Amino acid sequence: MKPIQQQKEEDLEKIRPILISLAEAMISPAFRGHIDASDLVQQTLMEAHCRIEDLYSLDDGPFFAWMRAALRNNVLDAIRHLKTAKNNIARNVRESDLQDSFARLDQLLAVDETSPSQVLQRSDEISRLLAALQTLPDKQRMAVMLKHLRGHSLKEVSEILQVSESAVAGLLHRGRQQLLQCMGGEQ
Amino acid sequence: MNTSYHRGDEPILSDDELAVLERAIEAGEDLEAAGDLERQNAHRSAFELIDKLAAPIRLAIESNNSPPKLEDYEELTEIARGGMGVVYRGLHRKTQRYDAIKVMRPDRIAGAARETAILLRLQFLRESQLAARVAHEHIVPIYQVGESQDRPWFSMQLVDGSSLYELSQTASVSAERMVRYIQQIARAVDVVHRHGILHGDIKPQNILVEHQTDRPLIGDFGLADLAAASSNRPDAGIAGTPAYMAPELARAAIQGQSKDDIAATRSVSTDVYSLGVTLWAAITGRSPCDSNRTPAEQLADVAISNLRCHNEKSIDVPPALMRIIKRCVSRDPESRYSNAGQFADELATWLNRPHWNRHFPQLRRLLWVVVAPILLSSGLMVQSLLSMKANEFWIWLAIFGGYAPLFATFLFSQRIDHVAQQARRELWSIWVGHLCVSLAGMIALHILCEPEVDQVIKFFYPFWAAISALTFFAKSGNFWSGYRWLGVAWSLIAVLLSVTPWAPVVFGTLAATTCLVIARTDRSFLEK
Repeated sequence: MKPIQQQKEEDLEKIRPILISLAEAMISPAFRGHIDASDLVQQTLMEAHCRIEDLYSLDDGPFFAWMRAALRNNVLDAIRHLKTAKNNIARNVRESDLQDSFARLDQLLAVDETSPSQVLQRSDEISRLLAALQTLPDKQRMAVMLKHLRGHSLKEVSEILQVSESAVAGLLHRGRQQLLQCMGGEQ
Repeated sequence: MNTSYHRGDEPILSDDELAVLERAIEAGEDLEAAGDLERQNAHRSAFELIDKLAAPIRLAIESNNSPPKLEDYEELTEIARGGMGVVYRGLHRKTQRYDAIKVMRPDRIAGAARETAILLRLQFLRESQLAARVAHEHIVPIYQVGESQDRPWFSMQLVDGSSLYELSQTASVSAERMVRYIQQIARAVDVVHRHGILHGDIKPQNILVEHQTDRPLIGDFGLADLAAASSNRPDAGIAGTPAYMAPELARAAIQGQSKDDIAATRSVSTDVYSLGVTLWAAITGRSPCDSNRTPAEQLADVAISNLRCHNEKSIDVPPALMRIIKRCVSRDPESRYSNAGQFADELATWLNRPHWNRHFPQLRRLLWVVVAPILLSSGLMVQSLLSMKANEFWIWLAIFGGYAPLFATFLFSQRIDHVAQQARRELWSIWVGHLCVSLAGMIALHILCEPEVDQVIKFFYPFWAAISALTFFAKSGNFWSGYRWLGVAWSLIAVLLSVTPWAPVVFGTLAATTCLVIARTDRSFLEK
């Protein structure tokens, strides 16, 4: 394997946790048990792997953008599949809204060599946060995601996760500490 | 990253204590002074750090589809989506009434810096609070202002109706009605201006007409600047379509002035301009800009006043009304009406002008079903009586018989209001005058030409046509401006009648045609 291709394969593995976090954040908790974020990401990575010949000429920014677009299509496909299966929750999801959300994410994360440093820094911070989330234990990650990425209140998180509010507060606290530690450690 | 959050340094708090802290932070409350402040502050800092990092993603992900959770409202369903906010229909829990709730779009603040986002939210709240203070029957009332999950919102009356834009696209709405709507809206805008609030985005799409009461309502006061400030578009500073924007604003936008400078250019005068263009667009059903051109080109057109309302003459807009609109949309702010109230006054004067068909609702049909055939047959009859050398009395009876249906309508029409009464009196004087002068002419010609009946009739018709031309000129002032052209036409007909041997038939035919022209083209007949 050519070294540059090998480099891209490594990049794929680096992007994996970011994509999983993105997919998990994007897919409503109501779909848990129907859509598995890591499966979708695995599928996305496989697609990228098959096309690595085409992709290795891309810079990091456009490469990441390609991956996000592929992930978006997979998420939308999964929702459509649920719709045809007459899933009640899926029927109320508007694809245009999901596409809008992805488009806004793209605005946040899209970078190339012409991006101002402020944008680069923010995009980098967001990517590191998303990657760090995957180092947390499942329960903590779910709690932090619901609370901070999906904007649910403590009460709502406890209802979704079906644990007490105190337990959620504990999960959140420990999750945040570990996130900060993990991100601080990288720096 | 700040290392003071290292896990090892963290004092242990129980989950229950953590939950109390978490709720306090969520509610934005100050932490209890009684507890261990250092621990609490450390907890809060960690919360805020993560939340700040996560906020852009959260705002991007947050589906606009999911309505915010509001304490007082349930059953929220989206009904409209604008540049600034999403409007939901929701049931107020206590009053059990459906209201419209406008919530600031989360993606509007998603990309902005934290300070900008806070500023935008505060501005949104401040503007809606200001607007809530103004109570006017033509302003959508604001019931409640609040903030939920970082998204400011306000609730207002749910208006069951169509926008002025939708109405202008249907031919059935008359200019009269549109003028009445805009006059009422101008009054409302004037009241708001007195409160120091500018609208900034007046256009037919922003004016709603309630179905049940036929009452126009305007909303979204002071949100234009906000919409512009929160926009990420390169042509920011411009809210909505440039078509209804005053030229000085368009120029400021083209010169690339800052959003604040553009906002400072907004004034009472720019709102008056927008009211004028809105009225023009509502009557004609067309956009003042050429919609084939790109927004940038449209903006340039607005800046140099290269607009349809300046360049095109429309038969739909009566000249007196066009003069009022022209003054509103003048390029020079100084020559516009100095306030919206003055504009409303002018429109009211126009609306209250004498209006002849208000008391003759059936006149239009009467014109082509009764008057036109009678005039035509009167002409034919006179011609045949002349050829038969009939008695002069019968000839005059046939001539003056044409007045009968006209005066019959006057006698049978009902009195309505004092304005209609004024119009009726004016018309009555004109036509009685017409009859008297014709009779006088007849007698004079009879004495002059005795005993040549042919000669009398030959002189009478051009004279009669000239008298009719005069009445049309007299009517053009207060009624339909098209009468001016009928006056000119009848002056020419007077000359024509002096050279034709078929004067009675020609007169009868042209008179009948004139009736049909009036019935078909006088817009006042089409009004309800």
